[in-house]
Amino acid sequence: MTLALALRGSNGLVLGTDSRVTAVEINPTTGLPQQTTRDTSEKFLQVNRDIGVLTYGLAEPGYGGISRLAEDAKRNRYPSFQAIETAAQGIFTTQFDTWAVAQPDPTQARQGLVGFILAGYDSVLTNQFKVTSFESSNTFSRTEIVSPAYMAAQWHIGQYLAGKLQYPEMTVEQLKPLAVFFMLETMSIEATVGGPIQLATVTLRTGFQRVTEDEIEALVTACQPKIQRLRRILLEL
Amino acid sequence: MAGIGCVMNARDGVVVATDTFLETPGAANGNIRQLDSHTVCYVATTGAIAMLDAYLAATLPLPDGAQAIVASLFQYATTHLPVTGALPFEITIVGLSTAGPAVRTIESVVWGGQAVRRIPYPGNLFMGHHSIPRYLADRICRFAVSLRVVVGQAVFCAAESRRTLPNFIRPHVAVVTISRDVGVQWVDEPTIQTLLDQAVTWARRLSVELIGLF
Repeated sequence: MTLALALRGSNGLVLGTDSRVTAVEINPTTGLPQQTTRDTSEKFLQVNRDIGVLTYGLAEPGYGGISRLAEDAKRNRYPSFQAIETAAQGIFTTQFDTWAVAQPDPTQARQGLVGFILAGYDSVLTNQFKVTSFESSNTFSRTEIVSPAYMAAQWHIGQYLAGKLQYPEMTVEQLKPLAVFFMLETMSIEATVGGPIQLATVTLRTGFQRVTEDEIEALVTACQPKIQRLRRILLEL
Repeated sequence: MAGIGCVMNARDGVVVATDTFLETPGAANGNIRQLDSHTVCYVATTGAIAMLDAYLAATLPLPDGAQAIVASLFQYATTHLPVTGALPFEITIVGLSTAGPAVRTIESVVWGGQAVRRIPYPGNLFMGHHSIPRYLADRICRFAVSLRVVVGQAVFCAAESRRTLPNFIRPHVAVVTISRDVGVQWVDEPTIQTLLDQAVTWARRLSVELIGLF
């Protein structure tokens, strides 16, 4: 699985994912299914100046969906967030259907979960930061997210912590370490979430910006005293 | 799998907790069932309940003790599966030995469509929507605490899960303790209400202490 998140602040969005891919393979010795993981997955891409897209769940149709959307948006220069949403819905559906048909058991493959989060600034119709979710379990129908914290796949721990730590007035600069904190705490429990953290911000002034590896490293280090403090508080309850 | 199931170890026994629609704790709870004086099982899915009912109907009286019940259930499932229409299941047996060396059993009998398997758990076990209870238990549990303390921790884990996942966790909590001297004992409703109040106090204290962390 994955932890994919979109946090809404007073002046923009913070988007994040981990980079782990989990596969179930048959152990040749025991004949039993076993999990294998790789931390090599690219789970989000920039769509245009103000918009990014994340994926979670099945890696192959997920990456296919975000890369095709990024290419399509570059080619067609869609004029608005809404136009990108419409294109995204079609691309994600086609990508998933194509992938499912190519599987040994297409009916079972269609039960698999893949999802996408489209997030960015809508400078044409609403002048708002927008977050939209598309999921295979919902036939990729568009779901607008209005809550300050949206998390998908392995979302439970992050959502629990968001209820304790996040408030709507937080700025993007405050949300960046918070997103890393959610990632680290989830990774400590969920084996299917892990590897390098991928983070990006969307603000009015700078649009979609990937957070550099060096900055993420610094954020991880800065989170350590906060993790220790939370552990101390929980132990003292 | 619906809701959550928690099996948490104490110095002097084991605690099994689940969410439930029922306000009254006790044997009527469908997810935790008492099998003998020192053994319960946790079942949450339709497949698990069907297999357990079939096993119990075919195996009376039950063998003596949790270890023997696990072996007998495994044998029964291996003999009778697969059959058309059978659903995957996981049945978790939790028990303490009544005589001789203290033996603690937390073991699942699992069938996913291929071979029936036995999976023993050496520590705490969390099932269903397990992430939040597992996360909290990992941070609040200490070694060698009493059953009384662990019951409070289990109720806190269930209450905090319910607060975050209101659409997935049922509104009430059922808790059973197993100790060598008393055996299986349901935690009564007034005690659960007191522990839920304590969970609210803990949650509020946690929220207050976390102000300003980011």
